[in-house]
Amino acid sequence: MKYRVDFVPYSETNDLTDDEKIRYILSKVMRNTILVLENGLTPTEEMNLISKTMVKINFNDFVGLRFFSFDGGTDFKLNKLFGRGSKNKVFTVVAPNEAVTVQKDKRGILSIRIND
Amino acid sequence: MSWRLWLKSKPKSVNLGFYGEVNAGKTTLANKIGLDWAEQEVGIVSEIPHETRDIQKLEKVNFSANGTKLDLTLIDMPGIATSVNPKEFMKHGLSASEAMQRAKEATRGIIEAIKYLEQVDVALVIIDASKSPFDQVNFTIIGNLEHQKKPFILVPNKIDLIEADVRLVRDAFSQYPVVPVSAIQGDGIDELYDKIAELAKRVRR
Ligand SMILES: Nc1nc2c(ncn2[C@@H]2O[C@H](COP(=O)(O)OP(=O)(O)OP(=O)(O)O)[C@@H](O)[C@H]2O)c(=O)[nH]1
Ligand SMILES: [Mg+2]
Repeated sequence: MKYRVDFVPYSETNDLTDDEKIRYILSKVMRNTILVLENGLTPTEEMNLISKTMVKINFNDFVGLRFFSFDGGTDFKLNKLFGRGSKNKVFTVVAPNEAVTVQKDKRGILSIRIND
Repeated sequence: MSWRLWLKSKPKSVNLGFYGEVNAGKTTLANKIGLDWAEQEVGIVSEIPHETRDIQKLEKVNFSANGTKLDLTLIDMPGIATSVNPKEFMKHGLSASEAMQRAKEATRGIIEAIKYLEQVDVALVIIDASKSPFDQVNFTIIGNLEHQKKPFILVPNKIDLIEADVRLVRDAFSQYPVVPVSAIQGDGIDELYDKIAELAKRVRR
């Protein structure tokens, strides 16, 4: 399986409604794209993404996704690095579940290994 | 007794929701609390993920700690996940059709648990302390509880296991109330009861 990584600028998703943004993400992720969204998700959008993902799972070629949100901040405190609060995150990574092994360590570094 | 006094002495009713990742020990903890205060369990515990797939409630739990009396409804939620793969269940010995059935019920259960968040007054966010606490699901749940201004307690569970690392959880969630427990052995449970009583004071009725 071939996977693609898209870095999506703020301008691409900024004008979308919450639902449109979730639909945009799901349609891409379901077509084997890993997204790095400059316009990160809010916690409400994250929950919405989980609910909508559950509806889309077909137990065959799509069994869900994984995502990670990052908060901004200059100090390397854990609470800055792990998406917190109700604002939009600085960026969010969304990947198809089967595509990748994703690990976030305590320094906040997100490692994505793309499976072949 | 005047109705005012009666109202004051009546235990406040509080919906206590159990949220967290799959397999964190939500049902085990709900059962412990149910047995302690109502001599009843809430649901079935299993090492197979997504054991709880329907919301389970135990009503009229007469709880009291630190002089605070509460009429609790324990609401044990399905574990929240961003993916559900039937193949995972087959590793636990389920047949292909059982696994598929479980997976379908699990996806519906997750949607229900998310919808129910609005009706919860106080939430316990159960975290498996023997695993990395940096799963996005924990952060998403907490972010939503904060956004909806719901009081919540982070509960690192399974502290009886040697792999459990409570400090890691405390570091990751330093500005929130954290009460580590072992739902199985009962360690930390009295501290948890005190904290529930404290947070229930913030619930408006
Ligand atoms: N060692 C240890 N194991 C625990 C503890 N609490 C729960 N477990 C075990 O963890 C597994 C999952 O427990 P459950 O209570 O079913 O977890 P859950 O969060 O309700 O899981 P789902 O309903 O599937 O989301 C079971 O094998 C439990 O026996 C604990 O305090 N210590
Ligand atoms: Mg359960």
